[in-house]
Amino acid sequence: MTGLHVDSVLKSYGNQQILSDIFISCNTKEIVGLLGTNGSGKSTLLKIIFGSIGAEYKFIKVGDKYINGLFDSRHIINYLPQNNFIPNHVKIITIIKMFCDKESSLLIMNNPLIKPHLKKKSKQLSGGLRRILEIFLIIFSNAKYILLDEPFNGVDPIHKEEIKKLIIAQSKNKGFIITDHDYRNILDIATKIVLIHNGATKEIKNNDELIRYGYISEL
Amino acid sequence: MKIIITLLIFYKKLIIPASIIAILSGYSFGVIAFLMRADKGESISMFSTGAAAVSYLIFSLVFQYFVYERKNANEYYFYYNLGLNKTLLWISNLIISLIIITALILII
Repeated sequence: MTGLHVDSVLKSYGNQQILSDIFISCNTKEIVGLLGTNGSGKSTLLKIIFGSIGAEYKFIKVGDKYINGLFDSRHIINYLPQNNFIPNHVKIITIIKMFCDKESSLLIMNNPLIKPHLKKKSKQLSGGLRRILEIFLIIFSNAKYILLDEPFNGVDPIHKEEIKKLIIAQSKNKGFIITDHDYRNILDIATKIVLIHNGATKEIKNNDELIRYGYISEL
Repeated sequence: MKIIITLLIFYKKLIIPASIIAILSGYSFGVIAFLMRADKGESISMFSTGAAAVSYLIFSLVFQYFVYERKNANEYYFYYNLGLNKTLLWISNLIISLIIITALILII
Protein backbone atom coordinates (compact mmCIF):
# COMPACT_ATOMS: atom_id res chain seq x y z
CA MET A 1 0.00 0.00 0.00
CA THR A 2 1.51 3.33 -1.01
CA GLY A 3 0.28 6.88 -0.58
CA LEU A 4 -2.01 8.40 2.01
CA HIS A 5 -5.03 6.31 2.98
CA VAL A 6 -7.79 7.58 5.20
CA ASP A 7 -10.55 5.16 6.12
CA SER A 8 -13.35 4.59 8.65
CA VAL A 9 -13.17 7.98 10.32
CA LEU A 10 -15.81 8.51 13.00
CA LYS A 11 -16.23 11.96 14.47
CA SER A 12 -19.09 13.55 16.36
CA TYR A 13 -19.61 16.79 18.24
CA GLY A 14 -22.02 16.14 21.09
CA ASN A 15 -24.88 14.10 19.69
CA GLN A 16 -24.23 15.16 16.11
CA GLN A 17 -22.30 12.70 13.94
CA ILE A 18 -20.15 14.81 11.58
CA LEU A 19 -18.13 12.11 9.84
CA SER A 20 -19.20 8.50 9.62
CA ASP A 21 -18.25 6.82 6.38
CA ILE A 22 -15.01 8.30 5.14
CA PHE A 23 -12.61 6.96 2.60
CA ILE A 24 -9.99 9.10 0.87
CA SER A 25 -6.76 8.09 -0.75
CA CYS A 26 -4.13 10.41 -2.13
CA ASN A 27 -0.96 9.49 -3.95
CA THR A 28 1.97 11.51 -5.16
CA LYS A 29 1.05 13.42 -8.33
CA GLU A 30 -2.58 13.59 -7.19
CA ILE A 31 -4.56 16.67 -6.23
CA VAL A 32 -7.68 15.58 -4.38
CA GLY A 33 -10.38 18.24 -4.27
CA LEU A 34 -12.48 17.89 -1.13
CA LEU A 35 -15.88 19.53 -1.47
CA GLY A 36 -18.81 19.84 0.88
CA THR A 37 -21.37 22.31 2.13
CA ASN A 38 -20.73 24.54 5.16
CA GLY A 39 -20.40 22.44 8.29
CA SER A 40 -20.08 19.18 6.37
CA GLY A 41 -16.80 18.38 8.15
CA LYS A 42 -14.12 19.22 5.54
CA SER A 43 -11.87 21.12 7.95
CA THR A 44 -12.52 18.59 10.71
CA LEU A 45 -11.47 15.78 8.39
CA LEU A 46 -8.27 17.56 7.35
CA LYS A 47 -7.39 18.21 11.02
CA ILE A 48 -8.02 14.55 11.86
CA ILE A 49 -5.74 13.45 9.01
CA PHE A 50 -3.07 15.90 10.17
CA GLY A 51 -3.49 14.70 13.76
CA SER A 52 -4.29 17.99 15.45
CA ILE A 53 -7.72 16.77 16.58
CA GLY A 54 -8.80 13.32 17.56
CA ALA A 55 -11.62 11.11 16.32
CA GLU A 56 -13.69 8.35 17.86
CA TYR A 57 -12.10 6.03 15.31
CA LYS A 58 -9.73 6.51 12.41
CA PHE A 59 -7.48 4.53 10.17
CA ILE A 60 -4.81 6.69 8.57
CA LYS A 61 -1.75 5.31 6.88
CA VAL A 62 1.06 6.75 4.78
CA GLY A 63 2.76 3.88 3.02
CA ASP A 64 3.24 1.34 5.82
CA LYS A 65 3.21 3.92 8.61
CA TYR A 66 0.12 4.41 10.77
CA ILE A 67 -0.68 8.04 11.57
CA ASN A 68 -2.23 8.34 15.00
CA GLY A 69 -1.37 11.94 15.80
CA LEU A 70 0.92 14.87 15.18
CA PHE A 71 3.99 12.93 16.29
CA ASP A 72 3.45 10.39 13.51
CA SER A 73 2.53 12.92 10.82
CA ARG A 74 5.49 15.24 11.43
CA HIS A 75 7.55 15.86 8.30
CA ILE A 76 5.14 13.63 6.32
CA ILE A 77 1.91 15.65 6.32
CA ASN A 78 1.68 19.44 6.54
CA TYR A 79 -1.53 21.39 6.95
CA LEU A 80 -2.56 24.89 6.00
CA PRO A 81 -5.37 25.97 8.36
CA GLN A 82 -8.15 28.34 7.31
CA ASN A 83 -6.83 31.21 9.42
CA ASN A 84 -3.39 32.80 9.69
CA PHE A 85 -0.98 30.66 11.67
CA ILE A 86 2.48 32.23 11.43
CA PRO A 87 3.63 34.08 14.57
CA ASN A 88 3.57 37.89 14.45
CA HIS A 89 6.93 38.43 16.06
CA VAL A 90 9.21 36.52 13.70
CA LYS A 91 10.98 37.81 10.58
CA ILE A 92 9.75 36.44 7.25
CA ILE A 93 13.24 35.26 6.26
CA THR A 94 13.56 33.22 9.47
CA ILE A 95 10.18 31.59 8.96
CA ILE A 96 10.98 30.64 5.36
CA LYS A 97 14.31 29.05 6.35
CA MET A 98 12.61 27.06 9.09
CA PHE A 99 9.94 25.59 6.83
CA CYS A 100 11.80 24.82 3.66
CA ASP A 101 15.06 23.35 2.44
CA LYS A 102 17.66 25.60 0.83
CA GLU A 103 16.37 25.23 -2.72
CA SER A 104 12.74 25.90 -1.85
CA SER A 105 13.72 28.76 0.48
CA LEU A 106 15.48 30.48 -2.40
CA LEU A 107 12.43 30.01 -4.62
CA ILE A 108 10.18 31.72 -2.06
CA MET A 109 12.69 34.43 -1.20
CA ASN A 110 13.11 35.33 -4.86
CA ASN A 111 9.38 35.53 -5.46
CA PRO A 112 8.67 39.17 -6.43
CA LEU A 113 5.80 39.35 -3.92
CA ILE A 114 7.85 38.13 -0.97
CA LYS A 115 11.32 39.50 -1.76
CA PRO A 116 10.72 43.13 -0.63
CA HIS A 117 9.39 41.94 2.75
CA LEU A 118 12.03 39.43 3.86
CA LYS A 119 13.36 41.56 6.70
CA LYS A 120 9.89 42.47 7.96
CA LYS A 121 7.97 40.68 10.66
CA SER A 122 4.84 38.86 9.59
CA LYS A 123 2.58 41.30 11.45
CA GLN A 124 3.76 44.00 9.03
CA LEU A 125 2.33 42.14 6.01
CA SER A 126 -1.15 42.69 4.64
CA GLY A 127 -3.69 39.91 5.21
CA GLY A 128 -3.55 38.74 1.59
CA LEU A 129 0.24 38.72 1.41
CA ARG A 130 0.44 36.90 4.70
CA ARG A 131 -1.91 34.26 3.33
CA ILE A 132 0.19 33.91 0.16
CA LEU A 133 3.34 33.47 2.27
CA GLU A 134 1.63 30.79 4.35
CA ILE A 135 0.53 28.95 1.21
CA PHE A 136 4.10 29.07 -0.15
CA LEU A 137 5.52 27.78 3.15
CA ILE A 138 3.22 24.79 3.21
CA ILE A 139 3.35 24.00 -0.52
CA PHE A 140 7.16 24.16 -0.60
CA SER A 141 7.68 22.42 2.75
CA ASN A 142 9.42 19.06 2.81
CA ALA A 143 6.26 17.11 3.65
CA LYS A 144 5.12 14.51 1.15
CA TYR A 145 1.40 15.19 1.63
CA ILE A 146 -0.09 18.65 1.84
CA LEU A 147 -3.53 19.49 3.23
CA LEU A 148 -4.82 22.91 2.19
CA ASP A 149 -7.91 24.23 3.96
CA GLU A 150 -9.43 27.04 1.89
CA PRO A 151 -6.08 28.36 0.67
CA PHE A 152 -7.59 30.99 -1.62
CA ASN A 153 -9.38 32.94 1.13
CA GLY A 154 -8.29 36.56 0.89
CA VAL A 155 -6.09 36.01 -2.16
CA ASP A 156 -6.67 38.20 -5.22
CA PRO A 157 -7.59 36.50 -8.54
CA ILE A 158 -4.23 36.99 -10.27
CA HIS A 159 -2.35 35.35 -7.42
CA LYS A 160 -4.93 32.58 -7.16
CA GLU A 161 -3.91 31.56 -10.67
CA GLU A 162 -0.21 31.66 -9.74
CA ILE A 163 -0.87 29.50 -6.68
CA LYS A 164 -2.86 27.00 -8.72
CA LYS A 165 0.10 26.66 -11.11
CA LEU A 166 2.47 26.17 -8.17
CA ILE A 167 0.26 23.46 -6.68
CA ILE A 168 0.16 21.65 -10.03
CA ALA A 169 3.96 21.95 -10.36
CA GLN A 170 4.59 20.73 -6.80
CA SER A 171 2.20 17.80 -7.24
CA LYS A 172 4.89 16.09 -9.32
CA ASN A 173 6.54 15.09 -6.05
CA LYS A 174 3.69 15.46 -3.56
CA GLY A 175 0.07 14.61 -2.94
CA PHE A 176 -2.44 17.35 -2.18
CA ILE A 177 -5.84 17.38 -0.53
CA ILE A 178 -7.46 20.76 -0.97
CA THR A 179 -10.76 22.34 0.04
CA ASP A 180 -12.27 25.63 -1.03
CA HIS A 181 -15.72 27.18 -0.92
CA ASP A 182 -15.39 28.24 -4.53
CA TYR A 183 -15.62 24.81 -6.14
CA ARG A 184 -14.37 26.20 -9.48
CA ASN A 185 -10.92 26.73 -7.94
CA ILE A 186 -10.92 23.05 -7.04
CA LEU A 187 -12.29 21.80 -10.36
CA ASP A 188 -9.52 23.74 -12.16
CA ILE A 189 -6.68 21.81 -10.58
CA ALA A 190 -8.00 18.62 -8.97
CA THR A 191 -7.20 15.25 -10.46
CA LYS A 192 -9.89 13.66 -8.28
CA ILE A 193 -12.97 15.14 -6.61
CA VAL A 194 -14.40 13.85 -3.35
CA LEU A 195 -17.60 15.24 -1.87
CA ILE A 196 -18.57 14.96 1.78
CA HIS A 197 -22.31 14.31 1.84
CA ASN A 198 -24.18 13.40 5.04
CA GLY A 199 -20.90 12.54 6.76
CA ALA A 200 -19.76 10.19 4.01
CA THR A 201 -17.31 10.68 1.15
CA LYS A 202 -18.52 10.23 -2.43
CA GLU A 203 -16.05 10.17 -5.26
CA ILE A 204 -17.38 12.45 -7.98
CA LYS A 205 -16.95 11.17 -11.51
CA ASN A 206 -18.68 13.98 -13.36
CA ASN A 207 -19.98 17.43 -12.55
CA ASP A 208 -23.63 16.37 -12.77
CA GLU A 209 -23.11 14.35 -9.61
CA LEU A 210 -22.43 17.60 -7.73
CA ILE A 211 -25.95 18.71 -8.70
CA ARG A 212 -27.42 15.31 -7.81
CA TYR A 213 -25.92 15.45 -4.31
CA GLY A 214 -27.24 18.98 -3.87
CA TYR A 215 -23.83 20.64 -3.68
CA ILE A 216 -24.58 23.03 -6.54
CA SER A 217 -27.81 23.90 -8.31
CA GLU A 218 -26.30 24.21 -11.78
CA LEU A 219 -22.89 24.40 -13.45
CA MET B 1 19.06 23.15 15.50
CA LYS B 2 15.71 23.98 13.84
CA ILE B 3 13.88 22.55 16.86
CA ILE B 4 15.82 24.80 19.25
CA ILE B 5 15.08 27.90 17.13
CA THR B 6 11.41 26.87 16.97
CA LEU B 7 11.26 26.49 20.75
CA LEU B 8 12.95 29.87 21.24
CA ILE B 9 10.40 31.50 18.92
CA PHE B 10 7.65 29.88 20.97
CA TYR B 11 9.22 30.96 24.25
CA LYS B 12 9.98 34.54 23.14
CA LYS B 13 6.34 35.56 23.65
CA LEU B 14 6.35 34.28 27.23
CA ILE B 15 9.70 35.46 28.60
CA ILE B 16 8.94 39.22 28.86
CA PRO B 17 5.54 39.02 30.62
CA ALA B 18 6.76 36.20 32.91
CA SER B 19 9.93 38.18 33.75
CA ILE B 20 7.96 41.33 34.60
CA ILE B 21 5.68 39.43 36.96
CA ALA B 22 8.67 37.60 38.48
CA ILE B 23 10.54 40.88 39.16
CA LEU B 24 7.43 42.48 40.66
CA SER B 25 6.83 39.41 42.85
CA GLY B 26 10.47 39.31 43.88
CA TYR B 27 10.37 42.93 45.05
CA SER B 28 6.90 42.63 46.61
CA PHE B 29 7.84 39.62 48.71
CA GLY B 30 11.25 41.15 49.44
CA VAL B 31 9.73 44.39 50.74
CA ILE B 32 7.13 42.53 52.83
CA ALA B 33 9.86 40.35 54.36
CA PHE B 34 12.02 43.42 54.95
CA LEU B 35 9.22 45.29 56.73
CA MET B 36 8.37 42.26 58.87
CA ARG B 37 11.92 41.76 60.06
CA ALA B 38 13.26 45.32 60.01
CA ASP B 39 12.29 45.93 63.65
CA LYS B 40 14.26 42.83 64.67
CA GLY B 41 17.40 44.43 63.31
CA GLU B 42 18.04 41.63 60.78
CA SER B 43 19.71 42.55 57.51
CA ILE B 44 17.78 41.09 54.59
CA SER B 45 17.51 41.82 50.88
CA MET B 46 14.61 43.85 49.46
CA PHE B 47 14.38 41.32 46.61
CA SER B 48 13.17 37.77 47.20
CA THR B 49 14.90 35.49 44.68
CA GLY B 50 12.81 32.51 45.75
CA ALA B 51 9.53 34.35 45.20
CA ALA B 52 10.75 35.62 41.81
CA ALA B 53 11.78 32.12 40.75
CA VAL B 54 8.49 30.52 41.79
CA SER B 55 6.49 33.33 40.16
CA TYR B 56 8.47 32.98 36.94
CA LEU B 57 7.82 29.25 36.78
CA ILE B 58 4.10 29.60 37.48
CA PHE B 59 3.51 32.60 35.24
CA SER B 60 5.42 31.23 32.23
CA LEU B 61 2.85 28.42 32.26
CA VAL B 62 -0.07 30.77 32.96
CA PHE B 63 1.01 33.01 30.07
CA GLN B 64 1.27 30.01 27.72
CA TYR B 65 -2.36 29.29 28.54
CA PHE B 66 -3.47 32.87 27.87
CA VAL B 67 -1.13 33.79 25.00
CA TYR B 68 -1.38 30.55 23.03
CA GLU B 69 -4.37 28.52 24.19
CA ARG B 70 -6.73 31.50 24.49
CA LYS B 71 -5.47 34.31 22.28
CA ASN B 72 -3.44 32.75 19.46
CA ALA B 73 -4.60 29.14 19.32
CA ASN B 74 -4.08 29.04 15.55
CA GLU B 75 -0.36 29.72 16.03
CA TYR B 76 -0.04 26.18 17.31
CA TYR B 77 -0.29 25.09 13.67
CA PHE B 78 3.03 26.82 13.00
CA TYR B 79 4.67 24.55 15.56
CA TYR B 80 2.68 21.47 14.54
CA ASN B 81 3.88 21.88 10.96
CA LEU B 82 7.45 22.06 12.24
CA GLY B 83 7.01 18.76 14.07
CA LEU B 84 6.25 19.93 17.62
CA ASN B 85 3.02 18.96 19.30
CA LYS B 86 1.24 20.71 22.16
CA THR B 87 2.46 18.36 24.90
CA LEU B 88 6.04 18.90 23.79
CA LEU B 89 5.56 22.69 23.84
CA TRP B 90 4.15 22.61 27.39
CA ILE B 91 7.01 20.39 28.58
CA SER B 92 9.62 22.53 26.84
CA ASN B 93 8.15 25.66 28.43
CA LEU B 94 8.49 24.04 31.85
CA ILE B 95 12.06 22.90 31.18
CA ILE B 96 13.24 26.25 29.76
CA SER B 97 11.65 28.06 32.72
CA LEU B 98 13.40 25.70 35.17
CA ILE B 99 16.73 26.32 33.42
CA ILE B 100 16.19 30.09 33.59
CA ILE B 101 15.25 30.14 37.28
CA THR B 102 18.13 27.81 38.18
CA ALA B 103 20.51 30.17 36.36
CA LEU B 104 18.87 33.14 38.12
CA ILE B 105 19.31 31.55 41.57
CA LEU B 106 22.92 30.60 40.83
CA ILE B 107 23.79 34.11 39.60
CA ILE B 108 22.06 35.94 42.46
